[in-house]
Amino acid sequence: MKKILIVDDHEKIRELVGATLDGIADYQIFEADNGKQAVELARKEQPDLILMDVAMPGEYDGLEATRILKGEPSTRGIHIIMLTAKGQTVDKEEGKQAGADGYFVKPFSPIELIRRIESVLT
Amino acid sequence: MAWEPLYNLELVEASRFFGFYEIMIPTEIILFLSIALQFWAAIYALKLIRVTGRRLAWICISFAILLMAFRRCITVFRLVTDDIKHSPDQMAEGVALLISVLMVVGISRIHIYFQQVKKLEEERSQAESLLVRFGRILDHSFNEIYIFNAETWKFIQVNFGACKNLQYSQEELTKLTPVDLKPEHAKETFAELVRPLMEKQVPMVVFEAVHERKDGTLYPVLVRLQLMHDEVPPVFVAIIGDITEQKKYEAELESHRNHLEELVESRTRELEKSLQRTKSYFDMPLMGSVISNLNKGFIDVNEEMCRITGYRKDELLQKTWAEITHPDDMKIDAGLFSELVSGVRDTYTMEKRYVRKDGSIVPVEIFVSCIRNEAGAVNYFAAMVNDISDRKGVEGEKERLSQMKTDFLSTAAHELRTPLTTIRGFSELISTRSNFSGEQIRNYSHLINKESENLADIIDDLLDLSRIESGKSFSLNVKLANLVGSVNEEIETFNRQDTGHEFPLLLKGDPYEVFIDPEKMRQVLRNLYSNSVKYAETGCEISTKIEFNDDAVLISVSDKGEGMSQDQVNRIFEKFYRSEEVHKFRGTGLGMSIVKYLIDAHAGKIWIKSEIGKGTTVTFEIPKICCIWRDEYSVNIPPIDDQHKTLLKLICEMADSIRNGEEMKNPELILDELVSYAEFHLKYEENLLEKYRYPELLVYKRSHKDFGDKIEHFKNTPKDERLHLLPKITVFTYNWLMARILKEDAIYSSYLIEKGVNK
Repeated sequence: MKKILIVDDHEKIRELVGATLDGIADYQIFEADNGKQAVELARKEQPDLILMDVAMPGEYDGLEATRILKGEPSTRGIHIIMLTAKGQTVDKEEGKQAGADGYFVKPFSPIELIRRIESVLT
Repeated sequence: MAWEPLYNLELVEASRFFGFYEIMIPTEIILFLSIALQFWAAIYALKLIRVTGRRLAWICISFAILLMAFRRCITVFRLVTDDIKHSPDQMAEGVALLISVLMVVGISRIHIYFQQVKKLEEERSQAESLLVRFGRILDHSFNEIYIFNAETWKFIQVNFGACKNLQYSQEELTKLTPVDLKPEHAKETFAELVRPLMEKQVPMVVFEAVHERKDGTLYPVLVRLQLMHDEVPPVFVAIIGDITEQKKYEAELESHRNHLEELVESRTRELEKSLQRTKSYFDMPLMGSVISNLNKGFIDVNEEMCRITGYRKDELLQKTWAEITHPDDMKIDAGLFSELVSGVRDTYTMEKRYVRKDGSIVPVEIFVSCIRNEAGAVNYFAAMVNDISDRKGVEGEKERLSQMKTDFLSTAAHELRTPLTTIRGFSELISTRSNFSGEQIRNYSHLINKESENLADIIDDLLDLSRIESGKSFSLNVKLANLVGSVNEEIETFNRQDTGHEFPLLLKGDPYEVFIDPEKMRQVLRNLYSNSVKYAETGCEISTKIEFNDDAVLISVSDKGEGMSQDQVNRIFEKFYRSEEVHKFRGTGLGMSIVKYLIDAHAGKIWIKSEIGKGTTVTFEIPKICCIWRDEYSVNIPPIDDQHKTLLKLICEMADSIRNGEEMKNPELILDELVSYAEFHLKYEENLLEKYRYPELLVYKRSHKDFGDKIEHFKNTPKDERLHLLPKITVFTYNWLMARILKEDAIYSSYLIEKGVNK
């Protein structure tokens, strides 16, 4: 069973992603509402995919968490897709440099997200 | 002629001795010569009378000589007439001639002698008379002349002038010394004074002194003192002049001089004053003032210039302005300066930058003018330096604001994207998936609904902000409303959101309604609660206290959240301000500035007390009688309501009936109504005057006082007597009220509303 970690400070976004994945395939869903929690959970659970929000309150934001995870051998292999409200090129570059494997700009289409997740996980 | 033989006898002896004459000179010639000489001698002798004055002697001598001459004449006559037989003895006649010659010579010698004696006599007497005159004159001179002993200093001789001036007699004076006359001098000082004379260092000493008269009066004198060493014993001669007049003139002169000096001094003072004034202008801290020379060097600078440049005055005076001007501005400045020097322009202004002592750069505006002398040569340059870093700072502030706005817009966009994502996502899922249960669909639809509401809120904030930003007023729909209701409604809303917080409500005082826009008030409360919810942990109390005071309602919202630093509190109402931890909580950063704005619009006040770790209390106040809203807000006041119209109509009818002399219906009722009406009105207006000091209201103050006096008088009148006063006061009240209503005074209209509603 594939493990997916959803990181977003907005509860409703996590709920939306959860609802999007619901009934599609048998995924084990983990949720985190800040960067620090995301890093801890990723180390512990070793998910296959992380959907990471960029702007989050707390110690690490999405970019920082991505940088940490991509810097550690145990978590380097995890596929990270950034969910960002910022659509500018600068932000995409930043995500790329932090080590993200892809990004989705809010508001995103759940159907496209499913397709992307399926392509990554199979 | 008995005496002739004798004569001949004498001559015989002489002629024998001088026998050679007979041959040489004829006797006749000798005789004639003798006669001539004897006549001459006789006349000479007579002449001597004048010289010697011894008349008888000289007449006798002259007569004797004349006799001898006659004797010769007779002899000659005899000779001529040949009366004598023999020629006279030639030798005797020769001796007679010799004697005649000797006589003439002797008499002339005597004449000369006496003439000389007489001349000498005359000269002596003349000289003597001059000396006497000189002495007399000196004696009577008003100059005092003293001769006194060089050792004892006792006066030996003094002149009459001295006695007269001093009022002493000569005898009295001879017992005195110069020291006795000079009260300012003692023996020692006088000795000191005459020492140079005694030691022959100087021929004369001149000094001023004061002489004391016998009667004790004083007069100033100028003393010229000389020592006569050659006299025995040596004496001092003092010639002394009374200089009272001179002193008087001197004093006058002195006073003139003093006056002149005073004039000069006062002029100098005036000049100094004007200089000081100029200096004070120069030193004014409003602007930097600079005096510089042709070499761009500073001659003088004021304190402000030192402040602007950061240099001390003495450091600046060692520098040129070229040294402290920013290199990039130097070219333009130097160009303008050379135009100033060449006379192309008289002044110039420019904006430039100085490099301060600490290396920082300060923008300034300078105004430079050239001061030339009469010949047109450059004297110096005067410059005013205005520190425009504030102005530049304002521009910087604008930039900062613009940056904040950009930040805000991107944050707002982010905040908009989040609810949009939810809305788009769920709606897409619902419309494309068939596997959701009815429950799920309802749940997701509810989420979509909530998020769209949230979206609307954010858009509202943005719109409010844009209104604030553009300076356009937004409308306040004011009505009398119960604040407690608004608070309750908002608490209910938050309770429904299930944030995990408690919202207790505390009421104090008797509730009353106030003029508010209930929608805006709820927006205020919503902002306050959502802030508290963000910062206070779940389970904490977010308490609300409503206090109905005499003049205002106080509403405070307290949480026991994280609290804020004083700096954060100070900046919390700034537009676009978000606390440093930008990402910690979502929000537009506008909430509190909108809250402040809304409370302002309600003529209220808002303040915050906060302590880090202990929580925050936000308190705002809405005035009880809130009728004056700020001009920049448009306030919609509902029209005068029916109840008020009824009251107004009653007063109008009453006033009409009084004017027409008709009987009043229910006068007691109207009376009570009127008094309470007027009293409320009065109190209300007093409040306004006191609280707002609105210029418009001050105009009414006088009529207000009149009205107050009348009401007071009315109240103090016994009830049954009041009826007589009623017509008057009713008309007065009516006029007073109508004047205001006709002016469509919002203040009074709104009061009337309140009055109407309260009834």
